[in-house]
Amino acid sequence: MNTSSSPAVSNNLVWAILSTLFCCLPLGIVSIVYAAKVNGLLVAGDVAGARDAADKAKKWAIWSALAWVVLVVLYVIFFVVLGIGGAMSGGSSY
Amino acid sequence: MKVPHRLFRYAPLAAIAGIGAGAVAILGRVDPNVPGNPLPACPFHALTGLWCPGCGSTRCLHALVHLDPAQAMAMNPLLVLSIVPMLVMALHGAGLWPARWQAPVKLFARPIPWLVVIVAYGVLRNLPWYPFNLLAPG
Repeated sequence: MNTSSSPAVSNNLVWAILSTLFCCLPLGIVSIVYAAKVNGLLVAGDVAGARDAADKAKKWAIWSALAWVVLVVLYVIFFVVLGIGGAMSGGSSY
Repeated sequence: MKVPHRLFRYAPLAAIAGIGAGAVAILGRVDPNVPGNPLPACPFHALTGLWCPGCGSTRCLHALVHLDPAQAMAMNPLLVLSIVPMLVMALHGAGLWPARWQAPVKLFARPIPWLVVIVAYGVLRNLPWYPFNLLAPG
């Protein structure tokens, strides 16, 4: 498939690192763990396994990004609701 | 629904460029150090009170946009130190890295050292004493 000197299966390590450093969640670590398996599987000749691990690395990076978005949205809603509630009750109970 | 491999190889580079452009556009105007700013805080820190490897990234990028490397290092040193390795990996992945100069690629594109460094960093920056407290933002 890919005959150049670069590995035939990208391990998606950049995604794993980006999601870990910017999404603030342990999910990115899982992504790096899968990225770490890719090259070993390639060396062992397990191309299908390597591809599977690379896909999982990408998937966990995406989950990390999505989880971050969901948490930020919840966080904003939480604060807006709390802010309104706090303002309506004179800001004393929250 | 699969993105063609030929195009997808540019995606990490595009993501990094997008983060950089977004940082300049947003953090050039909005200061994440001001209380009540509209930028999202780290959800992991909000939930657990612990510093994760990504905590301080927004303030770190803000400092970088305002050309203050010392402040950037104070907020998230690993992010600052990761920029060049990530660019090398992204350029290599896109096929834009010179084939004759593979030493930096071989040095940086190894998952296990990243795993060890990031996990250790995530633990150490929560230790409250010197020098590990330098790793925590703020």
